[in-house]
Amino acid sequence: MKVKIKSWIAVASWKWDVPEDEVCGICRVQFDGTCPNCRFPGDDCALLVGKCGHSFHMHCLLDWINTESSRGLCPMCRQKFEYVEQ
Amino acid sequence: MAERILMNEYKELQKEEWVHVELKDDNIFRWEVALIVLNPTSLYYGGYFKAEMRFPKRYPYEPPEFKFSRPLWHPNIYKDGKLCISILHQPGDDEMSGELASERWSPAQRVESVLLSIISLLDDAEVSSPANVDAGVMLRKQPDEYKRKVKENVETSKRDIPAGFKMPEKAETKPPPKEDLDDDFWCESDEESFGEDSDGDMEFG
Ligand SMILES: [Zn+2]
Ligand SMILES: [Zn+2]
Ligand SMILES: [Zn+2]
Repeated sequence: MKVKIKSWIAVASWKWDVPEDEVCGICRVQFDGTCPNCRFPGDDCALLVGKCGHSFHMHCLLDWINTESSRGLCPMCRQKFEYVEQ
Repeated sequence: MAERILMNEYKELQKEEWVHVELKDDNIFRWEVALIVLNPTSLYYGGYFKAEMRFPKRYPYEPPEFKFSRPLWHPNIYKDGKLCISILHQPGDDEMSGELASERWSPAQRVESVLLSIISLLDDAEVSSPANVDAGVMLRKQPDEYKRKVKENVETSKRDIPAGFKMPEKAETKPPPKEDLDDDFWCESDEESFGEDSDGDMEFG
């Protein structure tokens, strides 16, 4: 059986569901790039969207949350950081 | 990560007129900065206040250190040039100091926000700070004498202007005004420094 490709729609582009120019509050890199410790955008360098409205690379935020003095607070508004399940 | 963030911040700050930044020994973790007070209504107008900043490897998760090269006569500045200002303290340090966690360091802070806080600290001293008790007393009781000392500091600071460096003059380029800081902004009871050098002698070279 032969398959003839009649049309092709590229679906290889993806984006986080955040405004385009929004940057991570910790590393200041835009969300369509990875955190400074990662190389490839995508699942390995996920984005955490906080209930307080502030978003961070997961890696950036975890480094802060694992710092004892952070007390689990959002770096921007200093409310307890809880992320929205997506 | 720290290197990349610091390099970006360094480049951004090089565009600003109110601050002069250079790296010490080409080390991105050590900066020589000079705060240039462009606001003509400031008592510190025209000053060129040199300082050194050191950044931890874990920046921005930990705050930088800041130290004036020539200590200023100021209630919130220790005699070694270090500052009593909560933005340079990690939340959770010295619980009892009366500083609110909300004014402490966080990884969302930047060198720029630190330096702007320091500039606004100059004119908005917290007289109850323990960093220089004598200066606090003088500011309250002999404001004219205090102003005279500040003027001396400003004049002395100008010796640090590098040859060939053109001081900016336009007041429009002054940093944006910070919103009002409430009283808890400053650290209030860092007791260990109380009483140290209480004779009030300070020399300005
Ligand atoms: Zn990030
Ligand atoms: Zn990452
Ligand atoms: Zn937040």
